[in-house]
Amino acid sequence: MAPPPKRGRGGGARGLEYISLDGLRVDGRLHTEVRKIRCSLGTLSRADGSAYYEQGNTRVLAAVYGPREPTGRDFEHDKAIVKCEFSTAMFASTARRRTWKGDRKSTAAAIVVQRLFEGVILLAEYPRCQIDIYVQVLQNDGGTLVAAVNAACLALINAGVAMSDYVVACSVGYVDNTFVADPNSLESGSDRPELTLAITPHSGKICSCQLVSKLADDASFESAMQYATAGAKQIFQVLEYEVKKYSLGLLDSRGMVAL
Amino acid sequence: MEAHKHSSASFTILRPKRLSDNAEPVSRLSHVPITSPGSVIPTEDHSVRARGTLLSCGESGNVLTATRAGVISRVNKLVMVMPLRSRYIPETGDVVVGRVVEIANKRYKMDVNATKHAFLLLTAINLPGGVHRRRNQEDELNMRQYFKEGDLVSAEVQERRKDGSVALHTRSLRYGKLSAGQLVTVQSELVKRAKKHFHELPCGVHTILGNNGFIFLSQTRKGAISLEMRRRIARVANSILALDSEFIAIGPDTIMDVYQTSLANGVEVKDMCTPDVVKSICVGARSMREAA
Repeated sequence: MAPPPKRGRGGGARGLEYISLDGLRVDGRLHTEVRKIRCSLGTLSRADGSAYYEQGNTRVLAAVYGPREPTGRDFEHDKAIVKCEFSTAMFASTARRRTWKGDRKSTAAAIVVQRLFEGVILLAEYPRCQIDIYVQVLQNDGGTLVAAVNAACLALINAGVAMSDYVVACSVGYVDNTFVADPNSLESGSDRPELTLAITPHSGKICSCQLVSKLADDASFESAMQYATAGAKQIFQVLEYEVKKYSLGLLDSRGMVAL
Repeated sequence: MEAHKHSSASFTILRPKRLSDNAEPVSRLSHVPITSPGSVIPTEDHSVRARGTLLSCGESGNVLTATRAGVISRVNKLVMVMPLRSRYIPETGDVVVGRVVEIANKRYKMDVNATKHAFLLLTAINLPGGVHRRRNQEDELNMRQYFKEGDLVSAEVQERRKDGSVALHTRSLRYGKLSAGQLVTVQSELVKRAKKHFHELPCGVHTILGNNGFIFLSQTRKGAISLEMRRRIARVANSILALDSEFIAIGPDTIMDVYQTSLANGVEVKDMCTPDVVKSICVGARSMREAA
């Protein structure tokens, strides 16, 4: 009789060890550490606001048009409406996709982004207007919704849309009986729980919170929230710094004249 | 491993702050109060909040927070945040260039790059030839004789109504339908409000600098446009686009500076849009920001 196959200590599906003995993850991060973030504002010239956002190997482009005259039939007489489109480039992940938008996952993500920003944008300032948010995932390495929310937030700030606060999202995965902040595609899988949280960093309010799969009995929801909040705060520091840098850059090139 | 399995998370930021890149403007503009959505604006008692601010509940009572990324500006007790980029915000007296998008009841709806379409009442236009007539129902039926959908019109902002709509007028010989020229659209923040918005540039190109970021270029003289004039208009258009992509204030002086620099550097019109060329021809205009 053949002996049972040897598996890694983590015992993942691919026999992968998710957390090494010194407590480092597959890409060398600590369990509380988010991926490296790079972003730039105003990347598209034709949009009212736009942002390119990179979180590790997940790359996202967001564009905001508006507030503008409603393009369709529907509008509200006392506030603006928000529309969102979420699409993924066909070349975004390892397997080539057949569709780029309109599938169930994209539609769900679009609705999450739309609801989220409806709560944060001061809609009453723009009666009978429409604000369009377009998010495209260029490269998918896990956490696309997180990247989409953060990119859309930057694009809205770039467009000068009135918002009560930033919105920053962060997800938390659970591998090898440990919470990991901002899991990449290796660490997140359909069989593992993942919490995606979006907060307003200044006031600390929760804008959106979703959990896929059940958490293990010994893992508490509270500590998952704690990890996600702390991860979001890390991301917020980067976003705020980038916005400040961008604003100063604009002021520097234009001068204070037009104020 | 076991130690941090379920320990309550204590976190440190492991990434060093990258203040080194782009540090030059940061240090030079350190006195400018920059803010972004949600951050608290320091206020004294009895401050009056204006555009771009929000009263929200903080830990110690109500605090004033910003709703846009921009510069805090204070006039006596009035506190506001001026956004650095946004759609055009009309003010009474602005010169704008707009495009007719719809003809409605006694009015033209115009796209002026604002959050909503502006309207131009039939009673607020000068009829061609300056004829004075009673505006009757016949005129209402013949509205398309004056402006059609898609026409470009220069106009002035007459007023901002309470409901946020914007009324335009063209009751001056300067305003009216635009033709035989080129429209260039830029970010509206780059066109300053000035005494004069109609300029005849030394190169023979007539420009209308609309406050809404729509700039119309045409020939100064009447008559057929020569090939040389077309080249000049194209060069002016590309100079304006270069200024736009570098976010430099657009006025006759900066446009002509870029125009002359591009000529002096021997840059062809078609090559004026590549990023490195744009950088090199805007150097002079960039240094004018203090003088302006």
